[in-house]
Amino acid sequence: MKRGLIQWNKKEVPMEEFESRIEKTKSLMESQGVDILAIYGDACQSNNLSYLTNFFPYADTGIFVLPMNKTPKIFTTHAYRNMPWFNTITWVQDIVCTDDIGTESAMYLKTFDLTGKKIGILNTCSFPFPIYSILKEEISSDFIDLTKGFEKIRMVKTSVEKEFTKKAARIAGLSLDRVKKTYRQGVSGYDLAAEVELVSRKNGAEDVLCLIQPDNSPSGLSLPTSDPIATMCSVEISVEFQGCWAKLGRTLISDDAPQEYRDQLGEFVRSYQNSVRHLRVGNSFFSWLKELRAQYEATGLGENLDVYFDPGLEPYWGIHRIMDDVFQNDMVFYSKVLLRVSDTLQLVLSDTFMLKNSAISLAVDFE
Amino acid sequence: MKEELKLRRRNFLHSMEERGLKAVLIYASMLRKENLRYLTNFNPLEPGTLALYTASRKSVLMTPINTEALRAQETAWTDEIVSFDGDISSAVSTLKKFNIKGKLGIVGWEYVPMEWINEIMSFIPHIELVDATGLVHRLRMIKSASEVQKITKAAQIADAAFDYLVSNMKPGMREYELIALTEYKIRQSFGEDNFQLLASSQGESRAMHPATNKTINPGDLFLTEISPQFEGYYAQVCRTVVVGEVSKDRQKAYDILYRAQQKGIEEVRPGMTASDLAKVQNDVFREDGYAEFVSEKYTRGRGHGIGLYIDEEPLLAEGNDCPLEEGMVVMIHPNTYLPLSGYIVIGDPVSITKDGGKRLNHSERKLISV
Repeated sequence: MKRGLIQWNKKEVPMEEFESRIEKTKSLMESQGVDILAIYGDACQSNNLSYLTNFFPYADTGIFVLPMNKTPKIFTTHAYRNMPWFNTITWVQDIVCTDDIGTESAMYLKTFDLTGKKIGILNTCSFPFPIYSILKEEISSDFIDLTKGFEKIRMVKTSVEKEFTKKAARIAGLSLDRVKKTYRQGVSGYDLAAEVELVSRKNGAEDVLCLIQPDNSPSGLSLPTSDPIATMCSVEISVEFQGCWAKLGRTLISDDAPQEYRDQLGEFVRSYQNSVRHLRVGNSFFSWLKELRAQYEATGLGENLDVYFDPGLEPYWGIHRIMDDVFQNDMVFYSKVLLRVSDTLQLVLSDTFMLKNSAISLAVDFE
Repeated sequence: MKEELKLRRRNFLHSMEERGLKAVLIYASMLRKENLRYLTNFNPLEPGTLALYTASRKSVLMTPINTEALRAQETAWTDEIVSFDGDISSAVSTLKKFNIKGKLGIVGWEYVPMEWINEIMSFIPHIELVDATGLVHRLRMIKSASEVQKITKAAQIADAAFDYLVSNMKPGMREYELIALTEYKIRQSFGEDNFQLLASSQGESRAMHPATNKTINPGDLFLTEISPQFEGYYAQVCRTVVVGEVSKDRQKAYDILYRAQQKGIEEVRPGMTASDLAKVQNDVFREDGYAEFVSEKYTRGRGHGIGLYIDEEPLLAEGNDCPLEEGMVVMIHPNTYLPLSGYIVIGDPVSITKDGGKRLNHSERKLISV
């Protein structure tokens, strides 16, 4: 879920940036023979909607209808009282407040001559069925899933997005620094999460997620708890700034941890670092994965390696998809590597990279 | 907890039978996971987690990834836990094993994805899908003693977060910096999440919204609604702060709200309807000559239920005939726009007992000046 809590003024993203995003989207629509695009958004899936409009429905819902040649409109379940706020956050001028965004958007679509026309939608895997069924019932056009093409547009970042991502990564780095200073055996996961919230939000993070593995057991990273943290723990911080996400995760070790653990962590990080040179334009996730596995086999740390790779288009939950695209310049992605050394020890490294021929780690150096 | 879960499950299965449902599938999105959490005691970290309950009294939790299934084994209370590894057809195969024929209820109907419904309808013939969300909502409206305890703890966290915010708030700060303060305090107090709205203006606000980068200025009216979550349960506190001296008009507006809320807290009791509770508050506005400002144009309602979700049934609005019962917890907040002040808020969680309303938090309800 995108928890949000902060929404930026539309003036903080240049209008040319939105114009360029709309232009790329319309080119995609044209190439697929689609005349109108309908994008649904709510608290759990807001990034595509925000990408084009800067509108975030928060705990409500919304649909952005983008026709090729007519006025774009937002339909939202927000109360009309919120209109002055909408006008500060989105360039879209036509906003309809309604309890039934499905019917209202279908009525708008029906004002077009839809004979032989196709309607594009995004995220069929999460588009709510009741809204889709209203659209299908009211409109006889074919509905085309444009998710894949739209994701390809979003994967290659503009200079504005790169700056926002770098800022998100800097905030994640600052938050991790604070965690390192606070971390000692016995503090709770909530103590660490509190520091992450304070630093991230003060620096303007719109959304923040702090996951913690308090005892490095293989059950994995999870939401913070009040349980005391052990001599080793892992922390992963995801930060959003202006719709762009960065993620940073590290295994931390306290001064009194056994030397053996220290050595294993050192090997883990070195092997990861060695593999990063394979994150290059023209390569792919799979070629990197092969190199990563080879590195770990050589160390004898074990083969229980889980690797995730994600272009970071959605809030933090998208991490479990596999990005199978060939790497291009100006792509941004997260990597997450979990190495299960034993039944009681799992090590974590996650990073945000930007590709400029080779990968540049955005948040911190590898320490 | 196990006894309580048993009772919830028994009541739920009974409701299923009454509705003639052969099975119910509960869908959890990342925001709307309260129904799944209520019945299974599992707090999913991934979207698209499901739980199936059959009339033959079998239950299965289906997680989208394996690590979630491992996590679920520690807390979830279902007969079986399986992972479908992101493959919807694999999840539908699990459903098929139960050989469901007839009515399959869906809880979370309004946000269940089209892909899920299409897959179910394609691969499970002879099935009729119906919206069964109301079944769980009705059960969830009445809170047990342990649920009220958790909401009370969340309310204490909200009080602490608001105090911390006010004691650190200064003109010149940005709205988003105030969010940093409340989030910090809430995590320190073991709050697992927070939903917060605010607004700061010289009086032109018509509603609250997420924080922006606007600066807090002298003379601003600052409003906030803090809703921390503790062990799954939310509470909410709405407060108004004046940056500088309190003008007569603002004090007058706040006094009207305070009296409306006080009337609601004093009058609430089992046997009333949600509409009655809204009306006793609205009548204060009417008596003071502000009848126009009780309409939807200026306010959403006079409160709502609260629990595993921030905004539960019943909505306290005139026309809602939902009876109020012992065990319900409601937010009483006559938040509204008044021409004297702009949008202005006061709100507190109240438990409905057999003797009347009991506030679950203790922070002062005065108009605060910083």
